[in-house]
Order: sequence, then C-alpha cells, then structure tokens
Amino acid sequence: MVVAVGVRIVDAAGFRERLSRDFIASVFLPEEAGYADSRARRHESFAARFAAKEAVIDALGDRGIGLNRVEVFRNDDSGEVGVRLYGEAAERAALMGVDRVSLSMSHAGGAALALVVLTGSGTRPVPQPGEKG
Amino acid sequence: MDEMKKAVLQYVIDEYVDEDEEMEVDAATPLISSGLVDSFSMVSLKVFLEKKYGVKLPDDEATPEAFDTVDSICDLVRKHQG
Repeated sequence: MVVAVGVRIVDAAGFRERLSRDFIASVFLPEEAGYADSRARRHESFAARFAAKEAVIDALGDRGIGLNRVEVFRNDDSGEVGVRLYGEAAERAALMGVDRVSLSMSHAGGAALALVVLTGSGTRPVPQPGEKG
Repeated sequence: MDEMKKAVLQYVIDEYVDEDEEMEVDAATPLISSGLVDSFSMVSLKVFLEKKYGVKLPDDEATPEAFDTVDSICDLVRKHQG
C-alpha cells in the first residue's frame, strides 16, 4: 500500500550559479556527487537529486532528517534510479512500515522535479517527528 | 546588535534579498516561512555558518524553524560553540 508521497520542484538554473564544493559535500554522498559531476548538465543532475532528497524527507514527515541520509543512485544496467536510506531516514521509514521508495525525476525549463512514493505494510501509526514509535 | 547577528544578517541580505527589492530585513524577520530563504539557500546558509563559526550544526536541530530568523540562527550557533 502507499504509505506516503512527496514531491519537490527546484530551480535547476539557480543551482548552476550556487553550487559550491562545501554545499556538495554537505548534501550529496560521494557516489551521487561523482555521477552528477560526470553529466554534461551537472547542475540539472544535482538539482534533480536535491529535489529527490527533499521529496523523500517530506514524505517521511520529519524535517530534521539530514539530506545526506538519503541517497539517490542509478542502476548501471537498467538505468533506473533508486533511493537508499541511512540512519534516521531508514529508522523513520521502518517505523512507518515502508518497504520501498519509488522515485521519478525530471527536468525541463530550468526546473527539476522529483516525485517519491513510499510503499509498504504501513501497519504502524505514523509517528510525529522526533518520536521513536 | 552583536557581531554575530550583524554578520549573519548581512549574509542573508547579500545572498537572498534582491537589490531592487524594497524589503527591510532585521534579526526577527521570518526567512523560511516568508519564502525569502528556500531549502537550497537554507543548506547554503548552514554551510556558511559552520565554516565561519567553526561549529557543526546537527541535522535534527538545523530545521526550518531554527533557521527562520537571524535571532534563532544565532541562538543555534551559540549553543554549539565551544
């Protein structure tokens, strides 16, 4: 069943001017940064991944979760994108009964969009932010 | 106004307020809830604060609420200064 959804839209054009190495190190895991850096339009790739992280955190319902607790990866064979959760993000997802995070990203017209759907048994009551359940 | 508040306020004005925008920003002006500072900018601001003041701001405390005013930002930074 669908447990939660999240969506974010980000100004990708703004990312072109504002990305710094410190920002990248703070938000993106090494593999994420390496992939985005390899793209011809790296700012769009970073923007889409930033939107994805925010969408996941929105869906988890706890703004205190760090962006670097959510990893966006691309399957080299299939080209599909996926999400891995770490630390507090993984804990909260488990509390919510989430088994899978589905992600779709797109960018056009200077904007990057990410949509996430969290599915699972959802058998536990959704805890309030900060609650351990 | 103390030096930290002045520095943080100046950073906010320089980075997030358009030059042609007639908007007064002070230490109590809502930044996140007003839409002046978006999520990307909040992360950039966190990176700036951590570098400038040599602190590590925990993710669970670096929330939109804690970053909503210069006053609350400075309170958070001071809390984590040695």
